[in-house]
Amino acid sequence: MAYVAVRGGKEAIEASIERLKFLRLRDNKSLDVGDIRAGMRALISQVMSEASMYSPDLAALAIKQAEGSPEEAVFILRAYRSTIPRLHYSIELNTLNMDVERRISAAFKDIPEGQILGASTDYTHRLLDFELLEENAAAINDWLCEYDRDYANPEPKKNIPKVIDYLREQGLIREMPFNMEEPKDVTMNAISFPTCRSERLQILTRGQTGAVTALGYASLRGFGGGALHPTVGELRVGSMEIHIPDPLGNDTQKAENEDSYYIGSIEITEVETLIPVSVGKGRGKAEVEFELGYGICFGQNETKAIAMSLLDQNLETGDERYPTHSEEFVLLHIDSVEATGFISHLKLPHYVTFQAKLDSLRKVKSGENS
Amino acid sequence: MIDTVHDIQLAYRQLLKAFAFPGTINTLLENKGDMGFPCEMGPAVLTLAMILLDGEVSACFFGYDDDSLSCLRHLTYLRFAEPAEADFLFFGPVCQDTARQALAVAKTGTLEDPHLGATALISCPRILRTAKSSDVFDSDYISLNGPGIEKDKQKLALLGAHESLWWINERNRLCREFPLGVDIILHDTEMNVLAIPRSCGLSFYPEHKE
Repeated sequence: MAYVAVRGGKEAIEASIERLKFLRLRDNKSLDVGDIRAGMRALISQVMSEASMYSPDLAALAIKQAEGSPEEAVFILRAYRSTIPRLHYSIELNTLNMDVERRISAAFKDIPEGQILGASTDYTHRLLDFELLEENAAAINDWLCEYDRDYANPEPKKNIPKVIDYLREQGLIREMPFNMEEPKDVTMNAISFPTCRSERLQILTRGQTGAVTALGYASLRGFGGGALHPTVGELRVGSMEIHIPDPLGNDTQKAENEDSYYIGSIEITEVETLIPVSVGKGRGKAEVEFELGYGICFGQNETKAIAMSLLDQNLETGDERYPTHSEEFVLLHIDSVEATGFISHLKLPHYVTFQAKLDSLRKVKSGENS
Repeated sequence: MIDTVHDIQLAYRQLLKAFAFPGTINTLLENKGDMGFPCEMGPAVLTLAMILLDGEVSACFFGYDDDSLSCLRHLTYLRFAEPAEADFLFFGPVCQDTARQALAVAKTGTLEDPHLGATALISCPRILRTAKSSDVFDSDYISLNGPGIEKDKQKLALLGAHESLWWINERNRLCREFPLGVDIILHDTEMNVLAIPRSCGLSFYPEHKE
């Protein structure tokens, strides 16, 4: 009854969906999901991270279906995610065990085990490469053979020490006790304020890449009180093995991780940022101390992970004067599905509510005229 | 043979329908074969367990044998819990006092989160709209009223349930402060289910035949 005004138009809607398919296929070409998987690594990382679902194949399919729109692909993948049962919880990861592909520090040039540049666009000139127009299978094959010859079988890089641990040993950053609280799950229970850190980190890591980056940037420019320049202590990209405890084991066996099963690996980006803060020491004296911001996300998403680390520290501080310290401002606005969904709903029929507004406007106008 | 994906999905729709129209008797599955699991709980309980249980929820059982429960745990990864903690309470043919004590402490949710209230699944030999005088079983009538219940569908006969009406007073006590309360699913050997959501008023007439 309430939605009488939006009845009808069924045929027009069906035709619109057909038209959408036509626009995807009109050049008589269709992207192969394997090609998307192979050639759109960055977009797949972004979509998996924002969708909170690690599956490069399904992310590639979602990207194909969404014609490359990240917001649409994330929406599709989140919707799919909500239909599958959660069978297991993994054993917690220690990123010290990461099989490192890339690991850099902006804080020290010489770090134990060295800087590992890995794959990054940071060192390219960002000139449009017209040679890619001519790329063909034979050339790719030749190049791959050459690459294999030059960089044959690199050894896996595991147990690479953390830069932050070095600073802790030196007493330059505070030793923090482990927080062994059971993390709350924002996908199972809606958040209420104030949130705990596990909830904040989850919302930040599934935040829309652009939104997290923009707020991280705003925080640096003074809207987060960040007068002092933060430094990336360590950024690492690599793969982590995921293990689950025996689902039929008892609690003691689970706690001791006996009989755990390896179920696969995920690629993640992890960032630990050192953020200088001024601490008053009385008598007008102040001392600079370093606080730690933590960022982590699926895939290789370095900008997002760094921005996340800044927002993590901001939200931990919670200084009311700054917008990026406000939980509600940050956490309720960075989710891709929530933000794009709310903005998009504005184009849905509001015939009745708008008529009501027009009615009251007409009444006011006629009152003025008489 | 019951297919654990497609048939369970159909049965799930029937269960939803049962809750949407309290007081109606819905058959979970016309296909009453077994699932091929070494689980002696009866097809109705097994079907309901496959619909409702997974590693995210907890359950406790009364009147079922350990082997069946162990099999069910392998199938669903369910967590066993004490009655006061369990999301689902399954009552088979049991000692009434133990069952009543367990139901008495079931979760009723909180005013902020009433959905955390438990669901009790109670077995009953036969659920019918009306009992005939020729029925060999004792028959008791229950009467439901409240939202979603049509006037002519208020009354139901529970056959052979004379011994198993232990739960009614306890259920009414737990549901006295809506939206707090427990939801009840009655199931019989013919795969029929009757849902009694906490929003229903419930009364009973023992030993009544028409």
